[in-house]
Amino acid sequence: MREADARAVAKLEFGDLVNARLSTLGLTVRQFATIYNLTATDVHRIINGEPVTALVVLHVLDALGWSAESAAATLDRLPEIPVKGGQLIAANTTTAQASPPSNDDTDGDNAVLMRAYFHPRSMRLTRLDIVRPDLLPSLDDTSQRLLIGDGWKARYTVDYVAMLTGRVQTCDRGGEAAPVHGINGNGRDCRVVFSRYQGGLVLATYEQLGATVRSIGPRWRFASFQHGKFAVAKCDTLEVPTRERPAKLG
Amino acid sequence: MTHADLGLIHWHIGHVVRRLRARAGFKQTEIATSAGVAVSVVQRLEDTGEARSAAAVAVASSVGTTLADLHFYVDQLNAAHGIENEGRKVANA
Repeated sequence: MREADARAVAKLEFGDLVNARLSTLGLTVRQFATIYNLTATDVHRIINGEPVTALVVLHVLDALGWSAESAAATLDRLPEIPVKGGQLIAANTTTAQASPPSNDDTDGDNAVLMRAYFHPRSMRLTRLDIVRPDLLPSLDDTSQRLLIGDGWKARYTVDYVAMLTGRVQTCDRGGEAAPVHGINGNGRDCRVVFSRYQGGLVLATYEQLGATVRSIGPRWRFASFQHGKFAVAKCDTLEVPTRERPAKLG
Repeated sequence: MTHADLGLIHWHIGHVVRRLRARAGFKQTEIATSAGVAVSVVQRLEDTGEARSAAAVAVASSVGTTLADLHFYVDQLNAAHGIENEGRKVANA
């Protein structure tokens, strides 16, 4: 028997939501596919987290009466399955309800600021969700429109575009795309993490890290929107102050 | 946490077993072999959350967890969504 994956955290995914909703409704995949004029293969692919066209995803969302936003929000709120070394471990032994992940930037928790969805081959930005506009004052509506499609490529520095392209395409191929670490305009450590998304897209999630967290290693400075370009530059490697705990990288 | 926008979703341990199995890259047949049960047992557990307790314990172990931890996690999911736990669907062996 192979050893189970040793990544630290497992989470339920969109396919699990679909699967659980169908079983709650008492529908088999075949029944659901027949009723809503889908192919069972496509529904199975979604449940298994395999790539399908965006049209299929939209069709399934429509059939279930869901919006992409509500599904994503629900997934964000689902607690993680704590896994260590292939072992699922209970965080505690009480039956009290777990607190949902906080999006509060004032304490030690990470805050998701933005989600960007890339088509990995064309590297077009197909969708941009600003989760925390209060923490991203430089991204007004006009700026967002400028970034969609190929627009983002002209508005970030060339080396940043090249780096981001590499990470997105690595993720798309099923490889481990390392997070991009940086400092944002608030002086806080932040990172971009990559994951495969429905419809063959790659999701880049931009997070501000907890107030006491410092990254180790090279970082990028996500400063501000200046003269039509986002000022993103490489920072020097910063040492971790001895009194502060290091980030949980990855 | 609410599923209000998504309608009722009732989680069972099979959903979590399926996720952990897929995450580890196992097929149902591999889990069945490892657990010493028929593949139909794994299929039924994943589809309905139902199995005899000895089989559920063995399958849980094969995906790197315990039956108690699976129930704890599913209880968390359902309690957070206001769903009463309606009793275990795992029968005594």
